[in-house]
Amino acid sequence: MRKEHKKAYIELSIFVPLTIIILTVFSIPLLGIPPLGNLLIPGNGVWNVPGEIPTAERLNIDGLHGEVTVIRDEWGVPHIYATYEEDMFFAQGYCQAQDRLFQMDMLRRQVRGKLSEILGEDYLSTDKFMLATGMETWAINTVNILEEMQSNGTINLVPKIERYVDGINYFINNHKHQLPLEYYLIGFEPTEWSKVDSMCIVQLMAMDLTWNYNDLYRYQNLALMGPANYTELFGLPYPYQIPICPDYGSFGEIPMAPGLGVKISSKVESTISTFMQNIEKIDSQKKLMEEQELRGSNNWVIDGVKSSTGYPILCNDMHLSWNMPGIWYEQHMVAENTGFNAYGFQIPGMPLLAVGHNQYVGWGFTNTGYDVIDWYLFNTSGDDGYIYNNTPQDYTYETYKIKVKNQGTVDFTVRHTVHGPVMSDIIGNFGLAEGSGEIVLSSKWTANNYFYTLLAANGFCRAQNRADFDNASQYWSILAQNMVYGDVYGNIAIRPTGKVPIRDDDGTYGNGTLPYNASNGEGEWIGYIDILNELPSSLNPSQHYLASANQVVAGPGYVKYHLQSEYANGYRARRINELLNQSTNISVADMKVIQNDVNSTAARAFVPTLIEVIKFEYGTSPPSEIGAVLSELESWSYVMSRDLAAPTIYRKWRDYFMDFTFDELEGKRKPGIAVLEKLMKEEGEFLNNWFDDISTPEVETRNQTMLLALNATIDWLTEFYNSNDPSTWEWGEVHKLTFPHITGLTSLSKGPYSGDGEGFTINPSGINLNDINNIRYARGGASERMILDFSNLNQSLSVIPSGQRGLSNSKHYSDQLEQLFLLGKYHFQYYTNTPLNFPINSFESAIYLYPKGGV
Amino acid sequence: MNPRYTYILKGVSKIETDYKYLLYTTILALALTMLFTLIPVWQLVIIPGIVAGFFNKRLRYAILSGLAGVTLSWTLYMITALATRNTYAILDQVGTLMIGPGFGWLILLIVLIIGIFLGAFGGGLGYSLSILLKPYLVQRIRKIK
Repeated sequence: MRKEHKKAYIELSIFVPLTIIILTVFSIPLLGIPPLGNLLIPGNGVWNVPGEIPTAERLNIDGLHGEVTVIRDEWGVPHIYATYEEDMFFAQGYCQAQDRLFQMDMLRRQVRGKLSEILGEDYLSTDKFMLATGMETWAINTVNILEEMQSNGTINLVPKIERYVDGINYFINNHKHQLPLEYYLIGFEPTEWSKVDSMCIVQLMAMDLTWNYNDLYRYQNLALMGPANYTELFGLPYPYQIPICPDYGSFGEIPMAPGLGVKISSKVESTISTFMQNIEKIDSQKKLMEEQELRGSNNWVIDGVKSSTGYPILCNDMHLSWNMPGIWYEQHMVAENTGFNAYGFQIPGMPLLAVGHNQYVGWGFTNTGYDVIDWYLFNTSGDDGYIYNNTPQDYTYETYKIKVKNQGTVDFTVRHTVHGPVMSDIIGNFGLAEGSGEIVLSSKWTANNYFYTLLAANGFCRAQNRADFDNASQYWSILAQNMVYGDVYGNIAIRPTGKVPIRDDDGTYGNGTLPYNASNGEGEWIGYIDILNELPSSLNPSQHYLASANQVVAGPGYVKYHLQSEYANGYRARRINELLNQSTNISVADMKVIQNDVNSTAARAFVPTLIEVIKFEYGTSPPSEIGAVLSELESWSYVMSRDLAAPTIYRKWRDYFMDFTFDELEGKRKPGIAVLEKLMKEEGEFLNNWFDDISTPEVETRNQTMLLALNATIDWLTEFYNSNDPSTWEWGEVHKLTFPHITGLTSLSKGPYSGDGEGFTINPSGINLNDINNIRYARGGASERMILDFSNLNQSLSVIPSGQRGLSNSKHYSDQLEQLFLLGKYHFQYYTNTPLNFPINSFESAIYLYPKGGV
Repeated sequence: MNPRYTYILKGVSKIETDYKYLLYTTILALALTMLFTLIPVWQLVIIPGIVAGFFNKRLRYAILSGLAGVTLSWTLYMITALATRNTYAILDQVGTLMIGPGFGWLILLIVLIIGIFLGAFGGGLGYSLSILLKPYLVQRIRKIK
């Protein structure tokens, strides 16, 4: 062998292994991170994440009928101007995918049990749970029935949805290698969108807003406390409610509802306890339960008598969990051929608009809290059957195949009773502890049915008057909402709508507030309440305004059906009513102030009594630490400002007061704070002395409990702030707002930011101070704010707590959050009917879509 | 001419030729690397170095041409991406995820170091292969002629 060949072999023996090592190390996933080569090498991964939208872009697209111009304003909001409506929907899908593709993908994957396919085995229990709820099944069924209705001429909607889906898929197919960062971090690619995917997102919202375990929690409380005590704390209606619809009287000071005659069984209680302990171990359900605390919303409308403009002004802020990107996508859609011209918000992945306005009408939502889910207990009958209405029945079965990353496919079978899936059964499927083998727990939920939500949205966007809007609202079935309405003719209205079951229960079994014994045939759903004719509503009331903040929908005059089992404590509603009631000549600027109001009605309900008690118990010379706290509280005007100490004292004291009063309920669900307010104000009027500390032989009074709570508060705050000077206990130190990314990745999240307000202010943001070492900052509140000015819709305002685009390198990722939302500011809705009238100073970019081959 | 001067001139001429090879092969590696950024198979980046190394006469120039071609190409690519697509924000987010806040620059540096290694190793590989394959190639070319 020649000398230089020998040398070459030696060199090769060095370079080849080194090259293989580098190529291998960067080609395999390490520590949960996808291959670094795929992520970081130029031409791959992060380098392919799209940047901002070009100032001008032309696309030639097959299948378009005419031209479409999409103008983006300075906040990145797309204004779609199309000649033909089908093309407008195509552009809507395209824009949503361009801005929010990853978010849309994750939303559909949640419902369709496809998270473990990309994230691995840890998400298998979530996938199984979501499939078991039947949401995907009913999304598929609904698409099928809509197609059938389209083919027999009953509706004209499906082609529009199809064009919307085409728009999304056009974007996906033309941007396979220019994806949002998250795709490269997780290591997967988007698949094509379908109509079912969009329907799945409707189902997901239904779960977010209406699925709950309240019946089961209530049963646990009833079992622990007995009927009389249970009714005293958890009976309905909640105290101090101002009904949404003013036409059915007011509750005044009537006592809480009478007792119940439900029999308690230790076997049932054990089954429920096991089920609840296990259900909280499923990530998606734990998150859902936490988010239920954040659920809420405000909307109100004033008529021309109250407004400064002589026309209605409508406001809406829907309270949901905060995420990056935010849940709402803002858009303006115009089609020349039909006169379609609507502006508003929609969940990415769904066509049309959920809330917003057109040239004639505007609308906004809050959650009704209608009781639309029941839990049924069945005695089993062998391995394959159960007892229903005293008769043995066989289960039916549904089998799913779930792909799991790096593991192949897992088969998953769900057993069904006549009422719905056996949810206690699937706990065993998760490898968690199983409940009692003799009883199974099944859920029945209004979302397990056909739903026509998009038909309603289509009607809202085209409504020209109240009658059109009402007609559309009857299709808004599975997402029960208080729909506030205003129009350019001066009308205002509210309609708490949704599909509410009528139960074969006169109240003996709890009227849907408790689980039913289905083996005895209890709690059959015998129909649904007629949305337009039988649910409460209000039109042009004499008070000249209407307001909802998740409180009770109707007063004692509405007696026909039981509607709600859960609703808000009512403090936001009290404040909104107070502000609207006492004001006239209200302007859009006033509405901005009201939407950002952080004056706490809850604090006003509690703190004066606390001050009285301190003065009563200590006279004029309280101990110095109590005196310093008293001084902070006395000088406070109940505004939850971040730079004050009094909000911190009030909030922590309220927590302790609640815990010390309801020590009997340790580990169980506690009543709302409105109940505590009533107990505090009307001590001695109740069966039980709830203020007594059951762990001591003495009988504590209200005043003693309030002062015990105050002392505990002082100790806690002294330790937390490392200072015994109350003036240093600034609220903003503990009251912070966080906006986590939907994957939880901290580098894509925003916050925490110090903020004003609390969970019960109109501008809400609830924190949890239970753990001194781990304060849970606010993760939810207004998910959008909208103010519609019917005197000039072009002057309407809106804002979202993130930005329009979900791309973390975009200037529109968090611009609205940082430059507007956190400062209480808004942007204008540019509501022009042609691109020619679009304000040039607000123009950022334009995409021109042309039919391939010309018009 | 003094034989000594002739020797020096021959040497200078040889160095000039080597530098020309270095320059041409670096440009070739740069162009190929740029081309491969359009293909989403990052492992191809080893090829420009191998090609550049193959045509060099000395190992050190082979390594240098691969290294310089890949690194320069990636540097140009990065500058363009950072200027037009706000990619630094993304790198910062990835840096935060992997190392900690404010480490976007380190990600850039790591990528360039990978480029340096892959270009250099590719160059070395190409050179060694050229030495081993040269007799066979020369033979083949002669046969064809």
